[in-house]
Amino acid sequence: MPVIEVKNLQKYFGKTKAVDGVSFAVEKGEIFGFLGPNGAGKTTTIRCMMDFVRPTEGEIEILGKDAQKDSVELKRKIGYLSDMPRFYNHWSAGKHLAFQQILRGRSQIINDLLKKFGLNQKLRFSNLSSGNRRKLSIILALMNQPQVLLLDEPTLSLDPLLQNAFHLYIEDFARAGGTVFMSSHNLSEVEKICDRVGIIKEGKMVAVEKISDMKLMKMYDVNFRAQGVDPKIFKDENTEVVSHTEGLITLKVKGDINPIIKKLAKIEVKDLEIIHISLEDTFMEFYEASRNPAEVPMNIGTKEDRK
Amino acid sequence: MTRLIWETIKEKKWPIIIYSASSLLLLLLYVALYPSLQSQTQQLGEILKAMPESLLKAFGSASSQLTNFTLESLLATKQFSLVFQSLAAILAITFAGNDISAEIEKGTIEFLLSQPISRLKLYFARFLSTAILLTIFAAVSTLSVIPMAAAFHIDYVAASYYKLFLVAWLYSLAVYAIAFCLSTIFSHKGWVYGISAGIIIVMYVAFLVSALKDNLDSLKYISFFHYFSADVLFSGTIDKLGVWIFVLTIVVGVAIGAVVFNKRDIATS
Repeated sequence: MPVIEVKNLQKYFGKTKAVDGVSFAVEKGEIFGFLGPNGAGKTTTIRCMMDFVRPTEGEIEILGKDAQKDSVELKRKIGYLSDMPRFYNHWSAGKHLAFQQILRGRSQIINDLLKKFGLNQKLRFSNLSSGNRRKLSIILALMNQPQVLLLDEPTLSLDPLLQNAFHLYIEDFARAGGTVFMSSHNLSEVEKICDRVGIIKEGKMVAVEKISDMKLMKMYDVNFRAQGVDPKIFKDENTEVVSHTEGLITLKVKGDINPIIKKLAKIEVKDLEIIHISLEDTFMEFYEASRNPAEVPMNIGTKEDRK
Repeated sequence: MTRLIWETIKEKKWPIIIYSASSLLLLLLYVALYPSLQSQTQQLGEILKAMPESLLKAFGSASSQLTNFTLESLLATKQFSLVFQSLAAILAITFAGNDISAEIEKGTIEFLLSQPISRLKLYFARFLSTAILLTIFAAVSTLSVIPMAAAFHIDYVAASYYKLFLVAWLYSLAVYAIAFCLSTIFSHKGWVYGISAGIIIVMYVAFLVSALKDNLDSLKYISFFHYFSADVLFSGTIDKLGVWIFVLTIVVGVAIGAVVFNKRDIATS
C-alpha cells in the first residue's frame, strides 16, 4: 500500500482552477519530487495534503488515513515545511521549537539538528536571515521524527553546504523507511536525491517518471556543417530541425541517435558536434510538450510500474 | 488545550494589562474626586431647595440627581455611559482580529495547523483565552470600585457593582463574539476591525436616535448600548432582555464562527 495516494485531486478557488485531476502514489522509503512552473498547482496540492485547503473533488490518503478526516492523527506523523517560512516575528527561534514540543512532545534529536544546521535559537524570528528562517523550518519539520515529510521548496535560500547537509539527511531519512514528498524548482536537487518525479503544469499532472528513466530519455543537440544539404531529410518524429543557416544545421534528437548518424554518414560533413542534453532540458521538454497535455503519455506510477 | 489557552493568554498579556490599568486609573480618579464633588453638590442642592417649586420643575431630573448625588450616579454618567463600552469594544475587536484573520494574513496559522490539533480545538482555545482576558478586564473595570470606595470611606451599593460586572462582561463577550465570527470569515484583520467597529457605531447611533426621536424609539432594541446603559447603576436592576440578547449573540456568533472556520480553506498568500 502506498504511503501517499492522491486520486483525481481537483481544487477550484471560485471559478479558478488550481489543481485539475492530479493522481499519484508514493511508496514507503521513496523520495518523490514534485516539479512544475510557478502557479502550476504544487503548493495547492501540498496544502490539500495538509488539510489547509479542502479539495473540490478527489481523495488523499496518507499512511492509509484520510487526509481530512484523520488530519489530527496524521499530523503527528507528518513533518511539514512551507514554501515560505512564516512564523511569529516576536518569538525567538527557541520559543518556536519549545512551542512545538509542547504540542508534539519532547524531541529526541533536536540537539543533533541544531548542531547539524547551526541555528541560533536566541534570535527573534524577525531578526533571522532568510537562510536561518529556512533552517528553523527544516528543524521544525524534522525534530519530532515524522514518518512522512511534505516539503515545499525545502532548500530555497540555503547555502550549498547546508543544501548538501539537508540532502544527506533526507536520503538517510528515506533509507530508514521515511517517505518524502517535495516540491522543488531546483532540478539538480531533484536529479540528485529523488527516486521519482511528478511534473505538474496548469493543474494537471503531465508525467510521473523515475529519475533513472528520465536520465535514459536521451536527448541530443546535433550541430554540423554541410553544404548543399536539404535539412528536411533529417526530419522525422524524433528529430526536429532547430536551425539552418549558411550550411550550419542544428537538430534536436529524442531517443536513439543511430538513425541520424546513418544519415550523416551518407553526406559530406565538415564539422560535427553531438551534445547529450541535461536533465534540466529534459524537464523543459516536458513543460513545453505539456502545452498540449493530451500529447504526453501519462504514467500514474503504480507500484508494479516502478519495479 | 489548556496549554494552548495558557500560551495564548501569555501572548496577549500586555494589551490586557494596559487596558485594565487605564480603566483602573479612571475609576480611581472618579472615586478620589467624589468626596469634593459631593460637598459641592450638597451646597448646590441647598440653593435649589430655596428656589420656588415651579423653577425646580424646569431643571427636571437634573435637580433630583443633584439632591441624590451618589458614587453610583457619578460613575454611571462618567465611566459607564460610553467610556467603558468603548474601551471594551476596542479591546474585544482587536483581540478578535488577531485571533484568526491576522494569523491567516501573516501565514502563521500554517505553523499552528501543521501541529496535531484540530481546527475546532484551536478555535475554542482562542475563544476561551480571550474570554478569560475580557473577564479580567470587566472585573477590574467594575468590581475594583468596591475596595476603592472602602479605602476612601465612601458609601457604595456593592450589589450594583456585581450586577454591573455581569452586564459589562456579557457586553464585552457579545462584541467579541461578533468580531471573532468575522475573523473566521475574512483573511485580513483590517476587514474585521472595520466591519466590527462599523456595527458598534451603527448601534450607538441607533441608541442616540431612539432617545431623541419618540417615533424611532424601537430602534434602541438593536443597540447593545440600550441593554448596557448606566441604568444598571442608577436603578440597581438588570435588563433581563438585554442579558438574553447578549447570551444569544455570544452563542450564535461563536457557533457560526466554528462552522465557518472548520469548513473554510486556509489559503495563506
